[in-house]
Amino acid sequence: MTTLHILFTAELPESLARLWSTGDSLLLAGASVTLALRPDLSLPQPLYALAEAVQARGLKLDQVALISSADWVELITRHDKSLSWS
Amino acid sequence: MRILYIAARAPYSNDTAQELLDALLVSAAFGAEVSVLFQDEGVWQLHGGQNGSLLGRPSLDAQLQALPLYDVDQLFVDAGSLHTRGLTVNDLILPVDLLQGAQVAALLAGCDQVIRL
Repeated sequence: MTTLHILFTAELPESLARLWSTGDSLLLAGASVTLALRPDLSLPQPLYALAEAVQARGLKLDQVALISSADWVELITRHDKSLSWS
Repeated sequence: MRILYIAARAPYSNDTAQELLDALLVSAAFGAEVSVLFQDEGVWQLHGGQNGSLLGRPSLDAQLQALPLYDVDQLFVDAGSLHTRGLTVNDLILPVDLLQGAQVAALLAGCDQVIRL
């Protein structure tokens, strides 16, 4: 069963990697979008970021798929469940 | 319905740990199959010898010890979270299943819904 991990915090939780299974996806929302700019981190794939959260902070993320709120809903339906990391 | 609750916050800093406990007891009362994973700072919730009255709060360890009475007996601890904090199962107030490596992800993959607080 696949999980959509939705991250809201500016820190990467130490336990995210341990809860990760093949088929899972990571969505950066809120303050977590800045993690995509950190050169020291390798974030799991597939990786998405909420366009609104990125643009509101004046950021430019080239390596990440930016999605709308409607895409977010669609992303949730493509996974068996979602896990909010706040 | 298999619901996994992930207790990820230290006790007493705020009300989150208490709210998670309240939520999972309600789920169990309505017949859900409840599992609890203590992870990250949440492993401190299981540490024995707490005296919440010093902070004007009920002791969380005493409440958690009642979980098996409410048929919540699938209790898990992330071994990685325990070890990085210098804790062992001997420090914990309840018998728990220690999950190593891929076992943690397998627990999440096997449940229908998950709530992390």
